[in-house]
Amino acid sequence: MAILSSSGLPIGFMQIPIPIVQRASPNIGMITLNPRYNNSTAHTKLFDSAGDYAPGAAAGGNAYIDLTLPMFPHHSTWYNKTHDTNNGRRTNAGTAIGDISKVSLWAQLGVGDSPHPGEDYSYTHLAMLSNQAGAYHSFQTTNSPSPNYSEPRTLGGGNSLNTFANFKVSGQYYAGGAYGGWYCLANYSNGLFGSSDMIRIINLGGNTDERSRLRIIDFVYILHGRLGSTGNS
Amino acid sequence: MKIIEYGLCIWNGTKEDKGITAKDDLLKYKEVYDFTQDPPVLVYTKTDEELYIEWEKSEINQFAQEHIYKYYPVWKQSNILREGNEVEILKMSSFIDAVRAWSNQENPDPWDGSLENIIIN
Repeated sequence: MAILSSSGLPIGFMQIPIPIVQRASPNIGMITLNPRYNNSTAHTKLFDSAGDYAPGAAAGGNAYIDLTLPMFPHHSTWYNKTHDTNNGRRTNAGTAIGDISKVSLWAQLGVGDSPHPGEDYSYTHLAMLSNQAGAYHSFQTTNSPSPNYSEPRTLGGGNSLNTFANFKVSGQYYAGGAYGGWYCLANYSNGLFGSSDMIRIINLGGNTDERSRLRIIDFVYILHGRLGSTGNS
Repeated sequence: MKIIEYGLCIWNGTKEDKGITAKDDLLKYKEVYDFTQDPPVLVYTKTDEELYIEWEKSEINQFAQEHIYKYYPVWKQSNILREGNEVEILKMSSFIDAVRAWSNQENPDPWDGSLENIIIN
């Protein structure tokens, strides 16, 4: 049964999946991130100082990775219109993507170094930031030259536990990710990105290096849209 | 390369991944707009001290190598050495030494024209 609009016209839902990391890609491959903290400090860590934005790992190196977004993920309607209503074009609501402005984020992750380590044995805490062109600060939302480090530009906003400022994942790692699994990090969400062209993933950690090491095997975001005869239909 | 904004690293990766091939490409991170205005109004442009690039040594070496190869590709260097013309060898050596001195200085800027100013004399 088709979903019908208020005006009786059929609505078609569509989506554009955009890979950010592909294990099999020779250009990107799989990413390994050592944890910032190899202790419980990570459990409640939030953004409050400059050092929280580009942290080093306890084992050395960086505890973060910057990833270019291969397509601009903005899902707002920035006055974009195809001036017609034929063939899915729309005048009233700009674009099929902007009409509903929803984004999903999926990742295939490896947590820790071990296969089948047991439930919640290997875990880590993650944070994800995006930037914004035209702002005073790429990674803070502070609208003045002096940054407030407690105002991170996390995906979806916020600086509290269980948001993109600090959320926990657990799992395992085996056979180069062959026994991995897809983690849904955001489903059909509003306002995940602004006018961003990159994402920074920070591995906060929470357990030993061996249990909190993160592999980013695959990573994709999905732009959701709604087609219809007119923008509001 | 690292892009530093108000002392904070906002990009740590290659210039190719960031799509930055010239100094002007940094403008999109320097210019601050008031988006409540229509059209948006430019309210501030970050200075070169507030937003700048920190190059990795390997990237500086790459710039230097490309500049040397522009004048002296490897085949040409081999031929000059093989032919043994001392004037040509000295000219080539001086040029390469100048480029190496540029790359070995502290914080060389590959986009300020100083590298392009090194030519064969």
